[in-house]
Amino acid sequence: MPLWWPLLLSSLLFAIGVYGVLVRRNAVLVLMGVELMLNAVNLNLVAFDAYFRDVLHGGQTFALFVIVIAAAEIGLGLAIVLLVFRTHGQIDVDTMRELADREEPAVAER
Amino acid sequence: MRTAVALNGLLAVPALFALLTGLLSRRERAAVAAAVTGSLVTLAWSVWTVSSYDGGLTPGSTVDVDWVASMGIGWRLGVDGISAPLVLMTTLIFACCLVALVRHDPPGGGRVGLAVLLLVIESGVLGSFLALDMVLFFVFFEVALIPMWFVIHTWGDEHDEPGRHRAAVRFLVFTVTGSALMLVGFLVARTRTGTFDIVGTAASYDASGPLALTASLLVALGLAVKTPLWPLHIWLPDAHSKAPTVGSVVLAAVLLKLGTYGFVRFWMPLTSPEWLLVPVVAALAVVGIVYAALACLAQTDLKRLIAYSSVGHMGFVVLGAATFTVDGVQAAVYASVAHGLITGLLFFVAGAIKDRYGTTDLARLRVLYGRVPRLAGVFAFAAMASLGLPGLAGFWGEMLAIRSAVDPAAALPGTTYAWLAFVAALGIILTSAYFLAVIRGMLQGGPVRPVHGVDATVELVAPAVADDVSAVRTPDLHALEWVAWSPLLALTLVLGVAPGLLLTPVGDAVAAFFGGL
Amino acid sequence: MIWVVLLVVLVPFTSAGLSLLVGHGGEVAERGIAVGAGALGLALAGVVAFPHLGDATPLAHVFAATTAAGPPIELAFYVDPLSAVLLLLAHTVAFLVQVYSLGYMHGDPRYPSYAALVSLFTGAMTLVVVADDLWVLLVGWELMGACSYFLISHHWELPEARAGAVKAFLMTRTADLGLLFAILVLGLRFDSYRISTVMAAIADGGFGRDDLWLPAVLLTAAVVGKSAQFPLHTWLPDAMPGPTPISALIHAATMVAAGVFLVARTYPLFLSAPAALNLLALVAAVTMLLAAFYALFTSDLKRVLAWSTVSQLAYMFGALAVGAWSAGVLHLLAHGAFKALLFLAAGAVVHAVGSTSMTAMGGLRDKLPDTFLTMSIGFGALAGVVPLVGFFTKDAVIGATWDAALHGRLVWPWLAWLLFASAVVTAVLTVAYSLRAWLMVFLGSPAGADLAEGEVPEIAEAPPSMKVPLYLLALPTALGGLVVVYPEAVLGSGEYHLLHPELGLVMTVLVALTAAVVVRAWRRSGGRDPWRPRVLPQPQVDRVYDIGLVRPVMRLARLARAGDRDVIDAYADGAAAGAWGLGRVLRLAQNGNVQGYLMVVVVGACALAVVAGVVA
Repeated sequence: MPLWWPLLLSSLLFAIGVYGVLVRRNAVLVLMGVELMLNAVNLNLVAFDAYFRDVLHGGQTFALFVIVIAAAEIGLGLAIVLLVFRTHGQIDVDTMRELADREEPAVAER
Repeated sequence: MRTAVALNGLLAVPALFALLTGLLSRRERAAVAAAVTGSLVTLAWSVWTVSSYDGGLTPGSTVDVDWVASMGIGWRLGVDGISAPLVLMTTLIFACCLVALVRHDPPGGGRVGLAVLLLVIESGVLGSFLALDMVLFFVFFEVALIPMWFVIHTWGDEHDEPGRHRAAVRFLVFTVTGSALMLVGFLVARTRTGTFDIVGTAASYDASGPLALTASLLVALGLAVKTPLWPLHIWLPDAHSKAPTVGSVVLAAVLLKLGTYGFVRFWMPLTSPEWLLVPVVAALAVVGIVYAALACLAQTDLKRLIAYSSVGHMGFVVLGAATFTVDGVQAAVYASVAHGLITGLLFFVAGAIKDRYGTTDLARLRVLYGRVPRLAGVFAFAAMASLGLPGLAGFWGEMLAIRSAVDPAAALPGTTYAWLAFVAALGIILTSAYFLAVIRGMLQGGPVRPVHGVDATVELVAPAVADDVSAVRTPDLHALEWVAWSPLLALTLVLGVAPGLLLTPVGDAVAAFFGGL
Repeated sequence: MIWVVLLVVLVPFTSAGLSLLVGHGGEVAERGIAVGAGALGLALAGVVAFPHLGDATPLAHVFAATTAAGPPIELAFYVDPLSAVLLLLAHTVAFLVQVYSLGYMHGDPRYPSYAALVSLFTGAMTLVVVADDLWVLLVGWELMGACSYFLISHHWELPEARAGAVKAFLMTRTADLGLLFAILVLGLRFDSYRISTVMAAIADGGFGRDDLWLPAVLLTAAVVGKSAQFPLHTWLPDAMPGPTPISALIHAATMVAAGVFLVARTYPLFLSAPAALNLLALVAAVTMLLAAFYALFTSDLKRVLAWSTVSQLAYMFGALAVGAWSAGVLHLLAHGAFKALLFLAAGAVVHAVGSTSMTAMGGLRDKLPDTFLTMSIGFGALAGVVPLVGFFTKDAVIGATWDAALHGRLVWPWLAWLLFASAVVTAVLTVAYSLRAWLMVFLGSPAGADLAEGEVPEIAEAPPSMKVPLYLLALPTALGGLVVVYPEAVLGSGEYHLLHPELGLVMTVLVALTAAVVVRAWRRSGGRDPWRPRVLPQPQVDRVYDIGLVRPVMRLARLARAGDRDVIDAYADGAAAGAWGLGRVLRLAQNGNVQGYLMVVVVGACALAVVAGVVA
């Protein structure tokens, strides 16, 4: 199998993931976009591992790492989404702007 | 071994006593006692260190331990004729300040905190004077600067809170920016030397080429902020006039000397007198002398006036250094020490006036000769010393600076320097003019003129009847003030009578350090 | 011997320190210290001075020196006849002034600081006189100025005392810059600050006019300031609000005469620098006449004496300018004696009357017999009446200018003629104003004559402590002429041409004629002021200084202050405002939309990738 097949696939996946993260309003769908990006990376790692016939199989090892991290991350992310839903009643990313630099900054004493 | 104990001990003693004072902070009397003891022990230690040094900066008499070996930073300490007078002056001034603190409770309270900070600053200042490594100098420089922010911010002028906060911030921003520039300059210099060791650098540095010029320029810029040189002096009047009395004393007498000492020890070796930079620095110094004197003539606040006068005096120091002669460096060190003693005294007196009358506004203070004759007498003495009366310490440094400017290093433009010397001498006359104006107005009294539209006649501090001024007396100098000030008074006189005490060791050390300037 | 010289310098300084330490603690101790130290100083001065009068070899010694790259600064002393006579003069007058002050300053609460400052001044003057190092001389020179400042403002409650003190200090200190730069230039040229070394080098030749005119002119500037010569003459009359003994000591006998001493001390330098001599001659010619005119019309006794001091100092400079060194120095000594006498006597008068205005005096001859006698001798000497010292020395000076006008080479001939004419006219004017003052103070009708019986103020003769110094000073004033007859005994052997019998005769006739005219005018005015006191059209020197110097400086000062506030402060504030403004712009991007942030990240990453691709 030529290398560019899995690479093409992973690029497509990554692009879809980016699109999802940047455009979707639903927080759960944003998280899914993140998952897609992570898995695109996994695909890359595995593909290159096979291509280089790496003795230590670093690519596969890292893919496992990423899977674990992705699991932890999605768990944390979903928990946050859940809390947001509980407090705000919705999970629209566009409306969550509490961290905006809105008020006059507390003028430092001068 | 002895050297290591002496030099490291000199840094450690004030730091340890600062710690001790902090630990005792619950019991104020004990804490203050500890702080005063600490400053006195440091003074004694410094006398011992200086009296036991010999051979200047030879390897046997310095401390040289690797600190960050990979970058060539070393824990290099040493004392020679250039730094010894400043070290002694520093420990003396701090001792005087802490003794003065015994009776004087700062308006904001929290005397212990102030004492701790002063000891920390002392440690930093001594480190800067002893450091023979550029980065080490920078580090101690910062150690001395940052606590000063707290001193001004917390214990500054109690009547003007926004003003003192502003002064503190301005002080810190200016001086830290300056020292950052200086650090970059040192780093650039290191690309040519491979080490931060200033003694080795001074012996073998090749000051030529654009890179060396950049290094020298950056270091000069950084030190010019701290010294300060016109037009980077703008932080100084605010900081000095808003700081508490001991803070003003330390700022003027000691912290400014970090800049001038840096010029002598760390800038001159990195600089070639052939560059245009050197006459430019000298010219800025002279502009500062005249400018500060003019600004003083128009001041209405005693502390601001003294602060501006510092700018002028520092101008003489830098002018001396910028001549690149042994005489010039002698003048610089002499004028530094003299200014420390005299301006320290002046700020002490200004603080005492403020304690008694609650103001340092020159438009409101009258006839102090009649009310507090001894205090006024001390002020007159200090003013005479500051305006460079021969026979007192202020004279020699400034005259020698002018002398060295008349005869600068061969590579420098002689005619330009002669004119600079002339203009600097005019600055001395202006200095006389403003101090006489203060004596005439504040000590001797006179018609009260309205200033800034305020009708000052109705608001005389402590009522004084014009024809019976001696009847209205506020407490004159008390014993503790005499104790704290008398060393300064005495040394001002001694250095004025016997300039050789200081000139000879400095001259020897300069010859050794610069290797035939 | 050399240690005695050191002692003679140290005793006054020690006494000053002790006076301040004792302070108000013990009045008797205070007086004892002041007078005792004065006596001790005088005795030591005698021990030092008498062996060095005449032909003795000068004494030179270096106590300590700094080691440095440049020429060393040395604590070096030098005693030759010139130093010796001035040492005697300074310590004699200082001692007498201390004694006199016991009475004059009786009950003054500020006596301790007064006595200390007089001692300090004596020490400073001693330092100037015996210094062999130019820097040591400068120390004494400026220290004198500072003492003068503090003593003029002794009565600081008086606005005119404050103003006069500041004016005196600033004017002399500005002129002192001349001395400072002269020292620097001499140090550069001769690689030494020793006066004796430098003068020997000049005397050996090898230095042309081009080398020497600059330091000589600079020195001239310094002495013009210190000795209150035109155009820096205005400070001396304004210094008169100081206590009268101070005027006698500082502003007549010693400090203002130090300018003459300095020229005499560095005379080889001046002889090799005709520019400076011409300048000196011009200044002297203008000053002596101008000051005499002022003295003629002033109605304040002390100011008359002050102007006459300025005028007499100009005589000395005139003599020095035409090469008559000994005439100048002898007139300095004579003037020191008789002017101190005059001031102290005037002090006694003022003490009795309570005013310095001559219109408040009159007919004091009977009430103050001792003062009358001694002051008459003083005025006689000032006017140049025959057997008194002033006659001889003034005759020597005028004779010297006459010789210079006829066949002198040092100054331009027209300048020598001008100097001669000026000296003769001034001599006439001197007689006129002396006689006028004498008549107005001691003769005529008493000022209080038209008052009722009880209102006449009580006028009593001064206490003995004030009278004795007067008689002691009257002695040299009366007999000092002997020195002019035998100058070798004092100044060492040499060629002197001090006596000019024909000229003396002419001058005496002139004195007599003038006296007759003045007495006639006085009679006609009914025993009051012989002529109407009028305000002379002052050459507006003070106004020129004010407009040309003081106001521009103050304007510049305000400009500097405003510049700091509005310009230099502005860049500091501008930097702060710039940082705030930048922050305000950047926080617009902080809109809280996480996806917006991410968009920036992605776009940025893509842009970087593109750039990397293009570059690589």
